Amino acid sequence: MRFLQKYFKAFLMGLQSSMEYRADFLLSVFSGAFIIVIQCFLWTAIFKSSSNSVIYGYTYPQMIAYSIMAGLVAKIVATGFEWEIAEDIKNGGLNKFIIQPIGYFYYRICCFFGRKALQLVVLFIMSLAGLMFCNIGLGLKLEVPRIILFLPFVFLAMVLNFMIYYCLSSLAFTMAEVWGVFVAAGQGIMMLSGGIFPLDVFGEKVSAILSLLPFQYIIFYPVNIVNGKLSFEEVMNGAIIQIAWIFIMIILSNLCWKSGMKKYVAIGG
Amino acid sequence: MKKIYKELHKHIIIYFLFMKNSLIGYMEYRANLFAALTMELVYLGSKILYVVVIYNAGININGVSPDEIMLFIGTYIIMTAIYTAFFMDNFYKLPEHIRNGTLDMYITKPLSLQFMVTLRHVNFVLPVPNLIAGITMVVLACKRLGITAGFINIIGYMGILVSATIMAYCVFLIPQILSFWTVKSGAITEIADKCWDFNNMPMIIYNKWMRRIGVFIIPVFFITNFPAMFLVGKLDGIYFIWTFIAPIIFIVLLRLFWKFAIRNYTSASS
Repeated sequence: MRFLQKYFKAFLMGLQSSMEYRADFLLSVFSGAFIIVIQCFLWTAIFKSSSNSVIYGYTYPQMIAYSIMAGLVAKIVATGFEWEIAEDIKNGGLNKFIIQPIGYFYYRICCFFGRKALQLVVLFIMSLAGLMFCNIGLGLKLEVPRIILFLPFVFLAMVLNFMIYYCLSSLAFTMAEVWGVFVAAGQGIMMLSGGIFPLDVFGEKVSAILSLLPFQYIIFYPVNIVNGKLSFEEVMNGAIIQIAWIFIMIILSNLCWKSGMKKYVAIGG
Repeated sequence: MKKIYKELHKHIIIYFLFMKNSLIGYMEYRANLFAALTMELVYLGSKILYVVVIYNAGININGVSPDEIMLFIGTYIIMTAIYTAFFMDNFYKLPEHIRNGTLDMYITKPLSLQFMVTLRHVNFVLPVPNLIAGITMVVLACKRLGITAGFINIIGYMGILVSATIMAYCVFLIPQILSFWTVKSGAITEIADKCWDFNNMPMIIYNKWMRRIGVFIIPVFFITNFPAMFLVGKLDGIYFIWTFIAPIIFIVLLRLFWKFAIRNYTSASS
């Protein structure tokens, strides 16, 4: 029990930190809404100008629901701790974790979920409001089992995204300046996970290649569960692959961190 | 008149020195150079994705063909290159100068403070992929649309690009000047940056009121839409007149706002 206590404290620290910068979070949600607005206008114009009622395999309500939910899920799974890890590695902040009886990985994941706790409440309410709008205003068919399935899927997407960035942050052991990699990876992951457009726009061949990567289980899959695009069989298969990817990323990050720690020079005494 | 010419000459010579210094800085930190290039290439990829989506859909959107949309997005990418080359780094640094008190040093120099602070750094890396991709897209789109590379088209397009550059300078510097009062301006910068993304697509996709606001009140649509509109022959009436008037109005407004902000500057250093 005492083992868990220290990590619960880390969770609380994360929660406190998110409450301290709540204005920053709300403003980031506001600016994040811009991409949703652009997407909604774009798809409305495309559907209005087209004689087809289905484009890229989506009906108009499904596409609008996708645009809204993709923007919100992107905010839900967003990280940001990778900059702190890089700073810890560069300036020797990692030293205290080496000598103290606390695991750096557990500390980071508890902090991450602590920071997310309050934001999740706000973002889930916004997601629900977005879905209600699509249901009442656009006639999107909503099914309660899908909404219930969406929740664990998003939780797993958060864990998967955390693992990917945790793995990525180990690059700071070998590179002095990792900011370019982080920004490029952030935008790349956003694109490949369906955060800008649904992955169907890439065409069948590219979509087939992308299905071999973990990224689509971060945004594309959870959003398509809730907007009714995926069958229940596809959802179940997706869940198994998503969990498998989490385990693969855990093993990979372990290897990267073990190799990185051998190079760590503990600057700052 | 002679005094104005002398001042202008001095500022141009110093601007070339700024460019030289910036280039030396980039050659010194090559790792940063590659990191920045990688980052910009990924961002460019996400911009090109919009063109891919439109071409794959294969339809005219609100009367605008995919080729015309490529022309708009190409112009947007060229404008992104110009903005990142001359303004972006300087604008990001302005709040830092105010917060840390380094603005004091610039105040003491015998040059225009606004010139020193807002045009000090020139980025030679970020614009490269954007400039290549943007020009390629514009040339390709013109070819497909049958727009000839005549004297009027080239001079008109370049002239409106200059006008749009002045507007980009004014529109995106104004939010940064707010940091004279707010000191910390991370959120303002983020919102201003996201406003730039509204140009990912031509303004024709937005409704009437958003277009009016985006052209006349917060003229972000002016910056990337007007040069392309000129080439496809859609820059007429009030928009054509606005192309000449807007930069003058906004430069005067910016100058007044800058002077007002400087009067409120309280040095953060000793």
